[in-house]
Amino acid sequence: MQEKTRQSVWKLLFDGGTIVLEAPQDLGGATPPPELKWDERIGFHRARAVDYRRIRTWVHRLGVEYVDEAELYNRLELHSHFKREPRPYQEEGIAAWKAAGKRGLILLPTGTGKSFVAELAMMETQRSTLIVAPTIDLMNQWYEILSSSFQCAVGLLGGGYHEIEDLTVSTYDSAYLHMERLGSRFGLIIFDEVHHLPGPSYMYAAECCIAPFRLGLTATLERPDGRHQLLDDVVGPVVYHRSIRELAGQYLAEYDVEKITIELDPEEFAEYTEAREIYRSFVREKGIRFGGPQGWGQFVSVSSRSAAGRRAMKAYQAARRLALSAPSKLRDLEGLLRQHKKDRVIIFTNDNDSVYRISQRFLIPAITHQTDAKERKEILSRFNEGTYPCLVTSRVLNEGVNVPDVNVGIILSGTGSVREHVQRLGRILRKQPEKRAILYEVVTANTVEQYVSERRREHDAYRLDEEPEPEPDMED
Amino acid sequence: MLTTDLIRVSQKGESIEPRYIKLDKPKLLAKAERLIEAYRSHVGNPRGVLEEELKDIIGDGTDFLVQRGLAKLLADRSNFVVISPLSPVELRRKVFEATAQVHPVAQIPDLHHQTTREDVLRGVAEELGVTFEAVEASLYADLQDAYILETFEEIEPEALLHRYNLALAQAVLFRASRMQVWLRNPDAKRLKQLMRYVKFFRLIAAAEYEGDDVLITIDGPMSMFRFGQKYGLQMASFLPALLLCESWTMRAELLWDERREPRVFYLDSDCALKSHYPDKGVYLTDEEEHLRKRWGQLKLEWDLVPSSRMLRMGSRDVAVVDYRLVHPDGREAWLELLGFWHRESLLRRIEQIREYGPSHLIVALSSKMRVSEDDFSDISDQVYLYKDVMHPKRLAERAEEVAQKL
Repeated sequence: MQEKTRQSVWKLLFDGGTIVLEAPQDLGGATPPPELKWDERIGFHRARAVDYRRIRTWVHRLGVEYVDEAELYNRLELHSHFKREPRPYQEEGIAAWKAAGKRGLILLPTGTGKSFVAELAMMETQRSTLIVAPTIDLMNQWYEILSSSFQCAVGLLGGGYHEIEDLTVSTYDSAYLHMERLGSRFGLIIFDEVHHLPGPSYMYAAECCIAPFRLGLTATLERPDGRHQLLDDVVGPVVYHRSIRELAGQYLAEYDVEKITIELDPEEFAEYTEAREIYRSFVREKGIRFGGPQGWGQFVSVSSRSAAGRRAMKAYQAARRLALSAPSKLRDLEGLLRQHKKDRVIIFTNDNDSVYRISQRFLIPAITHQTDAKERKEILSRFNEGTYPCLVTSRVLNEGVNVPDVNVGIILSGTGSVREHVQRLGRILRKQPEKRAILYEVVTANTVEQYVSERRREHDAYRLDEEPEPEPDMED
Repeated sequence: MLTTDLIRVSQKGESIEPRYIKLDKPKLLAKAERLIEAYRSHVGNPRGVLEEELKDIIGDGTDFLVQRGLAKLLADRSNFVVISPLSPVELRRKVFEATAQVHPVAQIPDLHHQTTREDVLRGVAEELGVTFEAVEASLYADLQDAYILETFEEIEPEALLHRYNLALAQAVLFRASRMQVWLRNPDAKRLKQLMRYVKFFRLIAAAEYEGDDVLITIDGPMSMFRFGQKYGLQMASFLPALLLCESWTMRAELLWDERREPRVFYLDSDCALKSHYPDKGVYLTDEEEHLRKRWGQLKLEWDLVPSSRMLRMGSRDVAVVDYRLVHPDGREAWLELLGFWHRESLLRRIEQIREYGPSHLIVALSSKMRVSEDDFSDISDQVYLYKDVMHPKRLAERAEEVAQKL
């Protein structure tokens, strides 16, 4: 379809998350880098936007006449309004990142100031920056951090907002949806909780952006599917890593874990057993095996095909709800709150219904994904000042959100994901003088939930009582 | 839009077939009517109450997927808002402040903990001069279940069933990685409209010709680097545009299930799906009709042959040629009629002809269009600016200038 072009000046364009090089097909005899591929559909060469840095460098070195219409980001002059000295590991992390060409991953435990590392990277780079965070809550948190630190307009993309500024914060979902239009607007892209990125969809958020400078932050990189290896291509290699054990005691608070096993009331237990039996007999009858990776999906699809299946699904949900937030648990919670009425307490629970049940019952503030950004900010700042002694929240606060000095955490229910609990722990582990944090885990006896809790303890972070391995470079 | 959990399909070999619903089943029409009535009658009520009624209507029978699908399409036509006697946010602030003094509020008061939840709420109600019930009702009036159904855009039961079938086909296309469309002898105006939608949904179309038929392959910029479903939603949105065309066959490549197994989805112009997109139609403008008539009357060496050839204009645009001017000696010039375009679009096309356009392409535009000779003096042989009507002789003269043997 392509006719000969009359142009002599090469042109680099951003096109829907890719880079198009409008130039003659033979590229004047030059050998293109492997990332640049001939696109038969349009009759020009094309590369992923993430390869912009390499393509632009290559074109530049060829010495041909070219215009770059792809690069639409700006140079900035960011100054932090807080004079803070970076901690040694923050400084080392940024130095390693710079040495790697301002690309790569910095791994630090939650609660060790990853957001300050991001600010340092932004001041090092001084280009329009997009920060991508996994949840709307984290997006709002970054918004607050950036606007108070740099005292400038900060854009939001996600949670009903579509305001683009030289500093913009987005969720992974919105970044994925909009990157093909916005991918040329940022010179630096920072992925918070970067272990979320390697999903098949979210990867596009990294691939469709031209940003030559890239930083990924997380506490734990491991993914059960092994896809974290893909990050090297789209963000860069791990340039710096400190584990929770290396930093505990020095920068993080000591803490104890106390497990409380409660019995359901006889009626509750009877109800639980009955619901569980309906669900299990359906599963037995249909020969569904939960051992394999497809088990749950199989249950969902089989149960949707018959009235009995629908009942089994309802029974499963009822059993789960009882085990996770039975009324008897609320009684035990009252006991714990009485014990700690002088402390700053955060209650974690798994589902939003339970959060609002607890909020209504104890008249304490709640934060979920439904909480509006402004109210959320107010609740957190009043919790910080001590106006509110207690807060209940669901999984939206799971990762990285900077909750101020809390010394008591209560996990009222939870799922078995190891990473989730490390990060939940991280939040109540902020270093305070003379403070020892307590984490309660309230589990229901004789339910599936107990099994989840056993699994949870297998992680590194629960083995802090063991002797940490010596790390000489941390003493410098 | 139907979400993944609401999709109904059957698999025949490699092919995925949506399980369309029959539009003439009285039982289904009655169900649709009941669901519409539920939305209609709950305008002003909380979403949670509506959802409860929907659950009752839908029940746990085996056709609940169809009904939940219909309900989802109705929810897409609804607007939910917060309506509350007191501002929930301000009320909560008051309640939480009051509670902080006596935290934790007791279920059953004892010697050390005498203040109950009710005590706190009554205190706040008294302070605000409202009832205890108003406080209870407003405390979380801004949760999703408490949202009030403010407006609902009406639809006829039969139209809803049509929308359902379309939504089902679209939900299958969410999983598409690529789409191929055979258009049999397409009209240039149809093709132009189709290409406008391709561009609007940020897709890329590549055309291959076989005689008068054209095979269009549709995917997106990233498709050549990663095989995936990234453009599935855009292709689904594009489907109603395809439905406006006359004679076509579509084949979409899918990645099905979590396992992303290769499957295909076929559709053609005999399907009963209905488009709800506006259709500009294929009518001829007065200018074009006049051009055809005059050309037939004059004995010119050049033939005027309707065409629907697509031309790449740089990396991001496509032009559709309306006519080929064909000379018996084998030379050809191509003609694109630029109708009522915005000045900006006209100038962009002129720039594209300058930069990429084949030198045997002529574009015709009316002098009413606020474009002057100065805008294209360097390529004036390729731009025909006409007053009122297009003159065949003028066009033939230009064809002499720019035509090539193809």
